[in-house]
Amino acid sequence: MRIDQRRAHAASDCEVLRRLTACAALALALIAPTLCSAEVLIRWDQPEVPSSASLGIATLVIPAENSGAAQNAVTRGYRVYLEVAARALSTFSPPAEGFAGVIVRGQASGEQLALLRARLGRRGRLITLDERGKWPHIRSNWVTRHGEVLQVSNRSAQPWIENNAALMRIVHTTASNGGTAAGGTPGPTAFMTYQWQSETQSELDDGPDTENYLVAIAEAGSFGGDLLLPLHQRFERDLLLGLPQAREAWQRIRQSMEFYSWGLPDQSVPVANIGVVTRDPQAWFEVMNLLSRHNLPFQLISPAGLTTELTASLDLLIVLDSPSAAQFSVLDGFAHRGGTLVLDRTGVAGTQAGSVSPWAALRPLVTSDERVSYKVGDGRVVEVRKGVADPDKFALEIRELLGAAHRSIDIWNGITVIAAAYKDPDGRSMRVHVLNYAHQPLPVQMRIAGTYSLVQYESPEERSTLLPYQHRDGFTEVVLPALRTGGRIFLSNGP
Amino acid sequence: MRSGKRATLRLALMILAFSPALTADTLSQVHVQRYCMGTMFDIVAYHASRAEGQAAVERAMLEILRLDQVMSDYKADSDLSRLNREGSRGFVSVEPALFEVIQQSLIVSRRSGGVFDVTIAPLLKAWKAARREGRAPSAAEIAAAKRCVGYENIETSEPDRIHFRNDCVEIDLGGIGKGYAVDRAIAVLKAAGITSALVNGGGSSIGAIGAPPGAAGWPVRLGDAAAVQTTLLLRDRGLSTSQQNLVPFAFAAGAFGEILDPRSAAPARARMAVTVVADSASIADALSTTLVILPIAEADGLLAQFGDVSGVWTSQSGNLTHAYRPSTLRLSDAY
Repeated sequence: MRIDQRRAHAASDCEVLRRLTACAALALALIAPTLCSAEVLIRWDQPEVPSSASLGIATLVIPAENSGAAQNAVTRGYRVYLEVAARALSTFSPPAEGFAGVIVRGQASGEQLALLRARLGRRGRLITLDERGKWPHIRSNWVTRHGEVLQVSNRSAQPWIENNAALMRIVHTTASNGGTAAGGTPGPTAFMTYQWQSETQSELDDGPDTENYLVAIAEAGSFGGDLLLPLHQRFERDLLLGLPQAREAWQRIRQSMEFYSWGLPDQSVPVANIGVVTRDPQAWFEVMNLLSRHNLPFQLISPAGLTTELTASLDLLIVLDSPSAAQFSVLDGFAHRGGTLVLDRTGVAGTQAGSVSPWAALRPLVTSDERVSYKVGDGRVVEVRKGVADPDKFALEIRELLGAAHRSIDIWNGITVIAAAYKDPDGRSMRVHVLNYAHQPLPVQMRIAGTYSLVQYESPEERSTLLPYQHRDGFTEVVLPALRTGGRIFLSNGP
Repeated sequence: MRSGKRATLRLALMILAFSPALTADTLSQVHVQRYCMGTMFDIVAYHASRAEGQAAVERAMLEILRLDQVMSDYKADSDLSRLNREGSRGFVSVEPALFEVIQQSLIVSRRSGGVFDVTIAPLLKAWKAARREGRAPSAAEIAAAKRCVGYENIETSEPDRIHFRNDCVEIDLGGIGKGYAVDRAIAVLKAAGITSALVNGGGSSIGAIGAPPGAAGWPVRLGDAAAVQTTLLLRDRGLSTSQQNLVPFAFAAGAFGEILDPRSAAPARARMAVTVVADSASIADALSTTLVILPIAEADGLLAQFGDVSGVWTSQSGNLTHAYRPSTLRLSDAY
């Protein structure tokens, strides 16, 4: 069965669920993500389209203004999504038949989307695009200005990975909280897209490397995001010409899409023992971005949803908004039970009326210009006095505060690797997605919380294989001999 | 004889007159990026033949990847790891590049009175282990690590043999390795006939051959501070920037940073960024690390021992606070 056929069935199931949604919530429900997939759609821009058999996929996304190509693709057997700009929605007429649906680019109102949905009827899906994504890659110190190449020299630092892990986590959370983000605005869908930004002359000439596409697909698959993947025009032209190099690259891309089409079961739960409490995730995006980058998986919590039950499974809470009296009570209880609480004191300074920090009268353990630390019950509280000036340093500090014993995943020799762990529905097993942004194979040593007796590893290039492991202090340690781009580790205790 | 010389001169002038000018229009730019040694390396070169330029750049990048395998202290099968395991048992023959970079580091160690010391590894490990527990290492842990530290414990024998005089010596080339890799890549590019190229090891170590077409040098901006930006032009030189990155402990006094002062056995406290320009990127690398530790008052004395070197100190806000032989750097704020 082809990838897109499987997707079509999954989409169909989700569609049935959607129809049950009340009319009043129709617009929001339609743009909420289908968490059941990490779907990758390919955008095609050339007027000509290769045959479906040669590309080996059944679905393409084609800009609506490229109507000739869209018709050509339908004739050649593709299911076609038309991509239409939000500003052109008023004059856009959905095609009569043969189309998979419509993808709206840009900011469209709920009313516009509801109207389009009504006009589409049962003829196809409606998807909106979240264009906040970044081309995933390791950023270098290469800068071009005034037509010249300018170097930037600064201290040695860990490579900066542009990635979308945190954004995908935020998008999922806001959508699952009813499709609304801060301020009650409609939440974005999990369909992400971005433009390729050329950094090197060869990228400008030839487009992204194959590895760039592979990382993009693996990122969407690992972090559960849906992706509209744009191809570089040069690559599309080479594919139309059937050039061997382009065909070989496409074969790898397709192999990766197929690998990640086996997504997560619906009930899979992301493993996260850090809570980030804020009503405005975008304002604190870099904090969450750096937590993800340092393999510190977090759960986004809105202040209104902060309860003792919710914090019971967490080891560390980062509170970025000023808490109310009731929230202080929950936080105090969390610390007393042994949790580590980190508060942005610039938020605490503006505490809500009647809410005073319960530990204000305690004698601090350590006081510095930047931090005040308290021992509270079995836990501890760190107040950040001057705000989070450097999110990277802050994330490393959080890592230290969490301590080795409470890190769900530790990675050695892999500073270009980001992992995402999910508990399987049976509760006895888990899977860990690993993604290497370095474009070259790395031996990666990992420590995963829990003791498992069966460890299997697979990647787009390697069939499933048993990995040797060691148990140490309640953790399972494994070594991935050569992580190229992405892979999955299945951990269980046997049948 | 004279007429023969004139003919040769005429021929040379004719060749020059009809040769295409070496400009950006006639030269192809080749640019390759690769992750290595924990950072991104960029190599860019200009060449009349794109294919030849590409081949030269790829060879230079392969040399960097090879050196990572030689100098890595976390890859168990690297030449350095083998030396660290076996060096105290007797003289060990090592890969020539490893011998050379250790020789270079010893020069800087001697001239800096041990402020730069590649045997710092045990002390660094002690600090990292303690940091994982959110504290500074104890006096006993420091004392145990310090017993292993000291460049005098490294004995070298030409052409390629090294012996550790102490059973717990371990070498960490973090303060010089990237610079050395940049130098080796530059050497590969020159051997391939490249006359305009730049090798950038994660921004902290940079080496230049010639200048880009039509320019006087490769512009390098110092630091990433948005407010103040100092730029220099790099040409046929190596450059390195170092800066301490102090992260405070949440539940104990003090902070951790990767640049340790071997004399105090503690992280260097200075927060300024130091950029050094020298004949080689490896010497620039070792010196910039050293100057983060040394007080500015002692810096000029150290740099004076290295001849044609220059240095620039910038504050966290990007302000230039001190400079050594700045007139050689063509500093500007043009970018």
